[in-house]
Amino acid sequence: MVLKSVFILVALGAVGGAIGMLASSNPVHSALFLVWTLFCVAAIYLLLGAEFLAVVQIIVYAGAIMVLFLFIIMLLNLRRDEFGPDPMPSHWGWSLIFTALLAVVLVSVAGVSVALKFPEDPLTLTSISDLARLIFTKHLLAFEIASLILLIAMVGVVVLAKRPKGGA
Amino acid sequence: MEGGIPLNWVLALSAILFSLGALGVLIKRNIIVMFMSIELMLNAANIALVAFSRAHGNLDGQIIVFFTMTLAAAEVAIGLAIIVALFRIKRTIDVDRVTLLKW
Repeated sequence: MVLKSVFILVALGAVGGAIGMLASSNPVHSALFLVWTLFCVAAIYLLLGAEFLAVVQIIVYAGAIMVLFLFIIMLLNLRRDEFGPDPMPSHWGWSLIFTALLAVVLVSVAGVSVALKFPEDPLTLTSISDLARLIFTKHLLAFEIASLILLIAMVGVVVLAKRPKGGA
Repeated sequence: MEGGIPLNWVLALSAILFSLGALGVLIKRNIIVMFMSIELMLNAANIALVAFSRAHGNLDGQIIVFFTMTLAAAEVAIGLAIIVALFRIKRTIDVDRVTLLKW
């Protein structure tokens, strides 16, 4: 019962943060709402026993990625007219209808898949050593490729963000 | 055990967050907020992966989420660099004013 109530609270927090992100017209407020949602997602990982992922979620997502977003928003230092009209008036209704349909389909699929159930014991945490053993044995190739992708991303960012030669 | 969280609830939360992310991509014209909505959709998928990983008692799902986070970090860095380059050329981040490739 306690777990269920905590889950409902955290889920409402996550959905509320997502709605706040969409509703606010200032991108800085949107980013802060998204940080809140990501914290709630980390709490849900914890409720599902994935404590390593919860920590990584807070460090990488709420920490590094969202700080990058806020940094870029403040670096560009946009004026009001550079945001654009918000939200877009012309296909607003259609977007809402499409999203409502998508939500109905996805939620009903989630409601149907009842054959699977969580294991009985609540809150057994994943051991990090099991996770590490899998990463460095079964998924070693994927791990190496991930490191290569990070390297390529690093080089790519430098190339993309560099001012062209002779430019201002 | 009555105390556990039903799998359906977690999947429903994942579905709702994904839909909200899709709505954000559709109704927002600010490219940075659209990008944030994409991050929200990635997170929704991650929640479903962790839930199924627990339901199957198999850690592979959590490892996919781990790699997804790695890729998301790379993706955000590249995407924001593209946005900065775009802003340098166009002086705007309104996607309706970036229509060079639109016929």
